[in-house]
Amino acid sequence: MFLNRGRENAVSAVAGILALCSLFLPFLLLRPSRISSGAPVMWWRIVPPTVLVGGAAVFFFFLFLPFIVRRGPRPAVIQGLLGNILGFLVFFAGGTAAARLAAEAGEFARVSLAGGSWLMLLAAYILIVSAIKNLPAQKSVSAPKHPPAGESLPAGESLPARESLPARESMPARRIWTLSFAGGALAGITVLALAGQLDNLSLLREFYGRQDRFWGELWNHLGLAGGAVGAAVILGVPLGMLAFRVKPLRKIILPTVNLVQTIPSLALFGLLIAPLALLSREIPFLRQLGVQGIGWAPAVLALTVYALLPITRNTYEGLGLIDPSLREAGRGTGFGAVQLLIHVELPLALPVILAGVRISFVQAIGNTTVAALIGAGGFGVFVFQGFGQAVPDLILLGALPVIVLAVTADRLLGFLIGLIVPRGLRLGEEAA
Amino acid sequence: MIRMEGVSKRYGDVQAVRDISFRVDKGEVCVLIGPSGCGKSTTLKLINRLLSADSGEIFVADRNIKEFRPELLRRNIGYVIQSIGLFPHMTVAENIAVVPRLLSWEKERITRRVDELLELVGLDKQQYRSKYPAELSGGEAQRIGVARALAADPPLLLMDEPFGAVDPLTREALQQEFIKIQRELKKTVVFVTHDLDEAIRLADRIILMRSGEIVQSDSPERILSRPRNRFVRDFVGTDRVLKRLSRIPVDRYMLAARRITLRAGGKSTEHRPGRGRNFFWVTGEDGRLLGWVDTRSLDGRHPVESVMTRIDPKTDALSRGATLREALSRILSRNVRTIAVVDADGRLVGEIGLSRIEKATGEVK
Repeated sequence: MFLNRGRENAVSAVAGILALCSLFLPFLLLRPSRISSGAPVMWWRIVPPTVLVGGAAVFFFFLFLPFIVRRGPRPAVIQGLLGNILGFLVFFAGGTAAARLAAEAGEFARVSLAGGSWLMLLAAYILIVSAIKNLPAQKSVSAPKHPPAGESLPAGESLPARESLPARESMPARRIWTLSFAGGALAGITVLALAGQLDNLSLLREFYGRQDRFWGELWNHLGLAGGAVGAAVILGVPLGMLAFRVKPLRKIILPTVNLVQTIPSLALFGLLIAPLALLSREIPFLRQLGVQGIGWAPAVLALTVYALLPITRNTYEGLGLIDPSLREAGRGTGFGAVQLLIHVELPLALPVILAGVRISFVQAIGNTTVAALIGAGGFGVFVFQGFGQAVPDLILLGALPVIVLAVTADRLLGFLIGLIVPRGLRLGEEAA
Repeated sequence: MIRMEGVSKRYGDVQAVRDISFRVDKGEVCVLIGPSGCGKSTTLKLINRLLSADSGEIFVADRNIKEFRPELLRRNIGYVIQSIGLFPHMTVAENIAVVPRLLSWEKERITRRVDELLELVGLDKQQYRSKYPAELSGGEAQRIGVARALAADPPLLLMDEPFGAVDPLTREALQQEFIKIQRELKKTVVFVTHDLDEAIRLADRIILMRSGEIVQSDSPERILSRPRNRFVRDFVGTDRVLKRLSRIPVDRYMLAARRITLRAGGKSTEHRPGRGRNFFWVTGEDGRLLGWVDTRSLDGRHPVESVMTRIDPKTDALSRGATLREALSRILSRNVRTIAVVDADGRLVGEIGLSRIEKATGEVK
């Protein structure tokens, strides 16, 4: 009856095993001070063993319910709910325990999540992703229509066909499930953090220690990545058009932007120090602008060069994908070269170009982390400080926001592109 | 309107067009035809300077086309291509308005013109204005393509296999539409096709090309009846008589139909059975064709309705605009000797039989 249950059950099994294993790894890490090495804290020291065993029993009961009964709640829904509850509980228990341990161990003690917690969170993540992915396939199962009693159709023949029927009426319901699965745990954790429940976790202690700096580096990070992508759009789109239009230039432009990508970012930053320092010394205007061998100038320059490839290549490809007959029709009806570009070619290539911008931006957010090494700022500052001081939680304070930023930017741009792309083109895609 | 003098064009080693000269008069439909690679499309594109000639001169309205900037020249020449080339990101209205916008017409004038053109090509303006090309059928898209070409009312229209990409039924409808529009607008048209039936149907003059040269340039009738050489004869094929029939409209040879009109109340026949006549057409009071009736059944005792055979004018009668070729094929396929001709509203206007078609083939030889 449930076509996807096999796969979902496998996911449930993997997540269950991970969750089970995580119980035998340390839950928390307790350090007397910020930089001293820590002592692992096992789960049963925090959670009473009876609660632990009871909770695990309930968890596994629901997780494997679809194994046992062939009917009942949809596996995806169970997975989504369990994943969210699991994720929330890890943070809730972690926060509570951290408060207690910190009170016992003194002012300088640090408590952070350890291997067991991370593994448990991984299990929760797997469950949530599987739930979101498998919801669509379950749509029509929510409203099964059984054949009239008189007809005796072999189940194997009739049911798969019905499952592939689109069930439009359940689309809004699906959206709500997806949103609550994706956002439920996040919202819960945010509420915990705002309520101060997590304040004693080391990560947040690091955060509270440098709150102003954190928000400053957020803007730095976005400014560097955004500025670089902006410059790359201004440069890359014309370069792509040039590569498309002028054959001899194509053989120079495309390999060059390709080659640049292969240079390690650290090396590129380093390479730029000397020439920029020279420029800054020779040209007072640039010096006044703040151009130096280190700082934002080489960072934006290098990031721009990295961001060029997806934009240039996608502009080139996007223009190449345009049906030649449209170009002929445009020229034949009396468009000049520039008018053709503005009214026909660019709008038609727009979806592909914007996809390139999206890739560039996500990439740039990651690359910007390294820019901290040459004094440009951004979340990399925390990462490298953390390395330097051997404080893992400080590294996390830099790394986690970068991940969040990249994912958010990706989703946001995807959404915006959906709004910008001309309606006629979206219709064409649906038809194709 | 168009004059070509000794025009040649080559692509690399291939001589696409070799020293051709011809002229197209104002209001004339000139069809360029020939096997693929004969240079017909190239010739067309030389006229609006999508390609430029290597040698020779081309005049449009007595001015050498080199005097114009290509874009300005093209805005005054309508252009329709096989793949239609509607811009997928623009609505139907925006597609039609492309040239008027390039010519910076005022907004209201453009809106008015778009509506006019939609009406002209037989599409409902309310319904189609804001549709996108992806929402159109092939035939509809092709109509919009023609509307776009006509938008700025250019005196000259270039059409490059415009009906090549649609199914045969739609193609026939589009051809009829084209004939109707052309009768109304009297544009000068250069039309490229590889479909001889289409050429014979639409052309005032056919220019048959081979390997970049003109083989014969003549009226369709003369191409069919006096092929200049073996190539033309082969190209025209063995069914020349049939092809000629497709040049002759049915109303030129149809005869008045003898009919019985049904009056309200159900009685009343007007015509007495005549000599040599074994059936009558039956029409309603409004003249609409309802069916036919055998004279032997008209014994005066039974009402006509009860003895007549009902037919559907849409499938069992010919439209007034049909050709003798269609009449013949309809007669043969229905296995009858005579077929009724009706107007657009289904009113009986005449009839045509095998003997009349025979007479026509005799006359046009």
